[in-house]
Amino acid sequence: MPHEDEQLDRLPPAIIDALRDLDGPAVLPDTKRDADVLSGARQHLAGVAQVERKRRNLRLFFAGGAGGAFAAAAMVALVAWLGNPFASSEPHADQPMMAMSEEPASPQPAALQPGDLDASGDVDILDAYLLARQVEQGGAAKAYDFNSDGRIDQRDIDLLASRAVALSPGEQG
Amino acid sequence: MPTDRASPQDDSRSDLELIDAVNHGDARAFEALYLRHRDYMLRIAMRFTGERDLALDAVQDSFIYFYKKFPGFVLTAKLTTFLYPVVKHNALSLKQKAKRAQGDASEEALKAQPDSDPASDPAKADSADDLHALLSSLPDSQREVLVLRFVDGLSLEEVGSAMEIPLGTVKTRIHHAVRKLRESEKAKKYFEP
Repeated sequence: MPHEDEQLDRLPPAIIDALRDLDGPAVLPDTKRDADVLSGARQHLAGVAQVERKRRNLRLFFAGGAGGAFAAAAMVALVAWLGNPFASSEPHADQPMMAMSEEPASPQPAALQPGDLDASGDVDILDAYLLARQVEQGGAAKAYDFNSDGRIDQRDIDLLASRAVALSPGEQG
Repeated sequence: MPTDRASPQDDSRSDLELIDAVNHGDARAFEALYLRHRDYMLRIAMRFTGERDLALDAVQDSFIYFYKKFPGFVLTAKLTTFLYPVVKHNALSLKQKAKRAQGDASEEALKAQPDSDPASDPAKADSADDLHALLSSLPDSQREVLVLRFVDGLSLEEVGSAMEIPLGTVKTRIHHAVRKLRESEKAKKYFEP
């Protein structure tokens, strides 16, 4: 009787051959199915690449052009958002994340999503950047008071950014 | 960059590197992964369906599920052990669906096949067929472990990961299966030194 652990590593070749025979003949791939899978993947990944490009451009912008303390602070905040989308940006329990103030000074067109500052059709990280610029220049509209605290500040930028990240394609594995 | 590469089939990057590229939207990297793993997954699907068309469907569904995991997919073990349970699940589901659709007709068709019983054909009743019959008589869960370990060459840990069972269970199943084989009249001669 061999040592028990030996059974875990060795089996007589005739038995392995018989196990292999149970598989039957190899299945030949099908060209049409290959094409279907790969074209679906290309379509899906084109969207992924687009989001990726936006993120890269944003990072490059912050790294190269903006300068100053605000840009540095915003860069740190963005890195934190991208790495941990929901950290420290939960809305108050009795407020929806994207709640608008009741009387916006400059309401957005009805067709746009709340927070879609650049009217691109999506709420993305660029919108958060635009809001950050407006806050910095002191010209942000009341419509962007997402947490309804009467002020448009870093907290509203955080909410918008976390919303933007939450809208991007799923994070799983 | 990936675009400099000759063809996805010849891509020499590791699965991990390819997955990183796919997470950034590189469709050629996904194609390389697909071509690298498709044939093995077809074999897996065939084990569970026994029919080529169902196997092809199961693999197609599995890779669609796979690319939808991007971006954000994190590989924590071998890609094979991630894909295996996906393909197995799809294969079994499709087989079950096909079985339901066929109803009793398929069973009658099987009964009508005279060659399905090895004992009815003396020429087939050789030792190899004895072994096949013996292996087929093992519980599916034990035979599956043996095939993954000794035919596909997965490590014990990888078998556990692919089948989503603990390492101890993998070992136990192998021990039980081997004991049955050793005790069988048909197979014990192969274990003799």
